[in-house]
Amino acid sequence: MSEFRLPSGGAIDRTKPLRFSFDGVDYEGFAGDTLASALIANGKHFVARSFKYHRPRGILSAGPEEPSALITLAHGEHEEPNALATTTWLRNGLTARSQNNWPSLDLDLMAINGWFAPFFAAGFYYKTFMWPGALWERLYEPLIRRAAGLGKLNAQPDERCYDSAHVFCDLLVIGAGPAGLACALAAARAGLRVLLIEQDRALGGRLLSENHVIDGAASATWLERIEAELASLPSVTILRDTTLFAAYDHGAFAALERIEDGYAQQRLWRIVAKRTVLATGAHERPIVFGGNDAPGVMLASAVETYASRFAARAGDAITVFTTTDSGWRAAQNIANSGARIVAVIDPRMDASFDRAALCDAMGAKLFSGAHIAGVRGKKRVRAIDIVDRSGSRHVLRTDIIAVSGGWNPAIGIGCHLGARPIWSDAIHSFVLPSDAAHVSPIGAAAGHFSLTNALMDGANAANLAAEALGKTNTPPVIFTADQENVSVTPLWRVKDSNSKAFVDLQNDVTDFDISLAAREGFTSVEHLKRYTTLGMGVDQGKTSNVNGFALLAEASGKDIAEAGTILARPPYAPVAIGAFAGMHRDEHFRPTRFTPSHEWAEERGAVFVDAGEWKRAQWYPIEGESDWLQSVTREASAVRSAVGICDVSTLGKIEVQGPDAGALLDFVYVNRMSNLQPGRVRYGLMLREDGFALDDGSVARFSDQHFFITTTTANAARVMQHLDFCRQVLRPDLDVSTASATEQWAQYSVAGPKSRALLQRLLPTLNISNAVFPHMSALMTQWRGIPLRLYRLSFSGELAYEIAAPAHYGDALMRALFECGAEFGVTPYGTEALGVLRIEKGHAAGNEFSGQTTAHDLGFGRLLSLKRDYIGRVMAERAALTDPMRLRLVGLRPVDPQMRLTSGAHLLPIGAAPSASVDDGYVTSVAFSPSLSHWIALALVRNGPNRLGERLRFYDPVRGGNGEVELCAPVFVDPTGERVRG
Amino acid sequence: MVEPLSPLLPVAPSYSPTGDASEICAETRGAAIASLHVRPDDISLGAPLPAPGRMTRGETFTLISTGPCTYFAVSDGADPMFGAQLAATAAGARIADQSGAYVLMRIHGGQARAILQKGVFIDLHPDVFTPHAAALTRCGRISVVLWRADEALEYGVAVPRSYARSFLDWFAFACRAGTVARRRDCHRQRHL
Repeated sequence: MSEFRLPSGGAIDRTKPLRFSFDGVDYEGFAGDTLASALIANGKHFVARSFKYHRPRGILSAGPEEPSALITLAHGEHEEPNALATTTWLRNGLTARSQNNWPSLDLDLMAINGWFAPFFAAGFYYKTFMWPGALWERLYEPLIRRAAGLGKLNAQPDERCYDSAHVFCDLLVIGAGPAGLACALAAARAGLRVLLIEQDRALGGRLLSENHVIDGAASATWLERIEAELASLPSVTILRDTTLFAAYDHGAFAALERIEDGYAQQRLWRIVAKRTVLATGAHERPIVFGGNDAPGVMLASAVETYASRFAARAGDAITVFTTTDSGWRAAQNIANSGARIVAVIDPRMDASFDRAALCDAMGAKLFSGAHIAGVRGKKRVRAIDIVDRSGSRHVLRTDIIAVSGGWNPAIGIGCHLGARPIWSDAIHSFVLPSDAAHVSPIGAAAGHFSLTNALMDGANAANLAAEALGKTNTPPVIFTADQENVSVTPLWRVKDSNSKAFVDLQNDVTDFDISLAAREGFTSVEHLKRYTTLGMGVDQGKTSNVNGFALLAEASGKDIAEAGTILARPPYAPVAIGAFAGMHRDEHFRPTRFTPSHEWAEERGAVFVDAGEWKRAQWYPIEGESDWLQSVTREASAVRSAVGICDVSTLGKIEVQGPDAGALLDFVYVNRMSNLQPGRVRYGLMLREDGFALDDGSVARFSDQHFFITTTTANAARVMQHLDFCRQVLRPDLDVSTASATEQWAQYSVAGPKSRALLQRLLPTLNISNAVFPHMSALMTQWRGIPLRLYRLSFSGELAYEIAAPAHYGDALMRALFECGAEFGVTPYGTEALGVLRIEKGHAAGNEFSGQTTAHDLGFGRLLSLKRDYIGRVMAERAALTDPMRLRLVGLRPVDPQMRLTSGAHLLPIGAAPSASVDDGYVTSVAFSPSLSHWIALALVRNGPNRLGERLRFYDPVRGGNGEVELCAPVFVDPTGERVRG
Repeated sequence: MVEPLSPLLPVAPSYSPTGDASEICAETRGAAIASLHVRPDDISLGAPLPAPGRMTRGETFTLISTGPCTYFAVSDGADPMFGAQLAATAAGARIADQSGAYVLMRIHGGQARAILQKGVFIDLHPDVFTPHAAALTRCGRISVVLWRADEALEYGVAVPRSYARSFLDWFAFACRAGTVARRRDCHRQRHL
């Protein structure tokens, strides 16, 4: 056991040694240690380099407020930068390294920055890099970016598992110190559902480090009793090792739980609470004095915690520098744990207790009315310069300075919804205003620092919550504790320091920076923050802000209450982005949707493509085919010559029912639907409110009051939302219902000259002759006892049908279609061939419905009804939207038939230099046409339909495309439409 | 007659975190579903309409509230013509058969509520989500209809068919990642 590990005491388990490494050196700690306590127990204090000046830094605190001891943790290949040594629980094999140094922590060449410190004061960048302006982007910004930041990501994937969960409660208690515990217990006894969140692994807060008497028993005994009772109550949920990092409206909060031994390493909690109590305690405040950043300068409460809770002696000769009564209690506890206190320096002239007697008992010197003027030692405190009340200087050998400058209530969460803290002269710090309605601070978080007050606050808050929620405690819970002195006299800084005095240790902000900012007019706390970076580190200024604002007030001649403070914003502590993603990463980034015949397609060897969340068969390669274009060409040719089947189940489908169903459709489509006859289908186009094209699809009418519409796959949800909005908000007068049926119907396109024969084989008793069931017809029937819907419509330009069965019978229908189609040479075709067929027919699809095209642009101008109103009509008639010079849909064919066309290419006048000013349009869709044996394209071209026959330059600088194309009508195959009616 | 195909058949029809049947998320087969839009004053359905957020059990089917004037009817049998038959008897209702659109899942066992609560952002406490409670909500980023049929802490979930595999993926992950109820004991730390 190392010499700094106390032989007894503490909450570590000496029977469970743990091996860990820091900067490549192996050390040993115990179960119950944090990385910081284990390092201290091994005599290791110099663990970090500072942000700007690369000065040696140690461990200041023992909790989440730590500004200095930021380290990088290894998780396999991935490294987590900026972890706090003070909140990282030790585990066997833990590997950590220091950061922000090169080549090593001990010999950091970047420390040269410290030599130029006079030039690096606040505002250095703003003043220095103003000229010449041309160098900003090329030189200054890259250099500054390289130098900025603390730890660095190593770009390896984070393999840790992140979980997420929700929890609801009557009362959320944030913090399980004495106030939080008292509150949680009293509330639970009153019958409330209580959620108790504690950032530490153990409950108790300060009771884990201090010894008190509560209800006549030792505080450790009281703590065990309370913990046992809470654990026995089913209405209480306790989340340990969990940091509540954000408050949102309506009682919603977010917290992050760290899990050591689980499948998941972290869990993001979304919390909804009816009442919330903030029992987050307070952070001890450092004192700003020269050399206060050297390793060995620590908060008094931290030295106390390391000694009493972790049995880690911070040093051989500890000096306590305190302006608070709590600093004296810490000194006693440290001494009682077996560490040696050599001196107590208290700038106050007197106190309400006998300080000399306490020092005598500890064997320490008392320096009353004195202060520390300087620190000797760079990588570790070796000695201090003391100025006593008479002004005389003394040098004292010491290796630890335990500082206590006061306490700042930890109220960050309370500010998240806009409550601005107010100054309290009673505690010399900021507290939440009484109208911070979403949380009720109690105990130290409310500035009530005595244990008695904390316990009382807790019980009272529970009783108030219980009453508000209609429950009462009988009898009321009352806890009593020993009395303690909590007096504080602030010392914002030691003025006669002989070296740099740091206010913000994380961002290297000194007292000089603050006064410089004030001199230069940055006298608002918000300006100060941004000019000096005070409080802008990952610690959000937990130990620095109040000192900084006090110094600003002093420098600008204001009262500190007038200077004010900033508003903390979420997150209260850093949260990995992975925690927000949870399981939704890699293949689970979003849910995957499978069509009803997905297994069938897999059996056929389909290659799948992501279409939104859907997996769609893109093409079906067969033996001997090595190129996708080969497969796609074969599939498209099969449709043109025989028959093919494509899964179109992903199309959006909506049932529209009711006496006013036709009226609703008239309202949303540009063309009239109410006069559609039952059994017939019509193409429909919808506009947005702004007059641009929204979506298209087919509308079938099955009866007077029953329509069935389809949408594109991409716009299925949007059109459903659009219809519901129209129905519920714009036209509540209409008696009409809508129901999404996208999931209900497995739908297959059966296309090609032999499609009728195939279907007739499947449905031998059904008359689907051209006379009875012409193009654009629909019917309902049954097949082997299941409902079936049949539509005659065509996207390919061939004789074609779409047949639909309930999705759970979709697989069976697909297999039956292929059985029936075997003799006709039926071929499955995927989305690529579907695209080829529709481009050959000039049908606009997703590429053309880009949100920037109008009905006129896409050649649907004649559909626009002039006799009635519909969504988008007025806006669609704007001159700019009907201007023939707009980019409008045309076809393209290459002048050289061997030339390959690419989507996205631009079209320029022949001979013109490529420039946006002469751009005539762009290519939206391309395909190799099996019918024409060359590439074809659809394009949006300025005044395109009036320029047919013209040639333009095809220019694709991204993929190197260059050549001439001819503008033509967009319908390349069967322009008179004879085949679809065949 | 054609046999229906479960979308979960190619993967696994159920998931049990403990490996036995006591805790499980499994498909409930043999039911038919229809969505209904019924005006509040319409009595043609012949069954009492559940209040918002509730479900009622009829003679041959269960009605689950899914929104203002909208319901799910879940039948006991798997008649492919359920929607059409319902439409024939309830003249005033607008009915769309959804038997193919949803996969019904049953989640039961000691961890059922704790696991489901991880994915569902509504309060499933037994005093809040009481027997016969129902909700249209999201679970693991998938829209579902959720209900609690009786006193037992087990839940019915209607998952859109195309999402069924992803839902089961989520459930399996949620189980593997654990619950706070399960971790409560192992996380209690003794103050040594």
